[in-house]
Amino acid sequence: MTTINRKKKSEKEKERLKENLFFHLDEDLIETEDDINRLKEILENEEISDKTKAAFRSANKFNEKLIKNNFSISLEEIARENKP
Amino acid sequence: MTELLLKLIDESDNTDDFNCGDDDINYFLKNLAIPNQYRKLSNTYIFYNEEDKRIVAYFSILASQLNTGDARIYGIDKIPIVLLGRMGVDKNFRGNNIGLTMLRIALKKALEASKLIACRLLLIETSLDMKSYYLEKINLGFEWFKDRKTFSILVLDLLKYENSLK
Repeated sequence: MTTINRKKKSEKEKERLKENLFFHLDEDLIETEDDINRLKEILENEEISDKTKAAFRSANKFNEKLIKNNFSISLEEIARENKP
Repeated sequence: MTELLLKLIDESDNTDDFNCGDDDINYFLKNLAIPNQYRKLSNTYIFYNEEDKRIVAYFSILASQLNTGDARIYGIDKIPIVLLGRMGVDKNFRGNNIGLTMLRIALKKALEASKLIACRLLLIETSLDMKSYYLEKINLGFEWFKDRKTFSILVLDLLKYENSLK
């Protein structure tokens, strides 16, 4: 019985992998009133913390440098310039 | 020194040796990334090691939408988004901040797209374990949207990103 279940589970897993889905569940993301309210809150809030602003600017600067270097970069530079 | 090149994947790229330790992420790169790209269903950017011709990391992005159903926001029932669908770093290259680098590049790509066709949010799905990495550790502007069984949906407001650069 356990072997059959394992086999079924493995087949199901293989089938799931074949699906061209980007999310684990193929459902609409917005299901409840709370989801709508949360989305509204995100879209209407214009505040950006200084820390996030700095992170955005730093990301932009990094991308400009990458473009300037024809999208080539050393692994060492990546490690050095993209610390969390 | 290991030199990496950021480029769009194409059929000349060897995907066989890539292993990030996650079957779903490996499967996507090896079986779906290239056909999806030719069908214009998703674009996959790779960091490619020119020396040994191996893929070090990748991410896939595509246009999508959030359906709000009967509820409307700003009068519309679909919010245009950029979906960061898949992202993975080969196990041999972990610990080099490549994941965060890919996010920063995806953010720029999403902003470029939003300037052309108007997309408001960059959306990702992450495991619950990784939620705090996005929300607290990297501080790249991701906001929590909702949790599912074992995953969290996070969004980043591209308008805020654009305004920060002015």
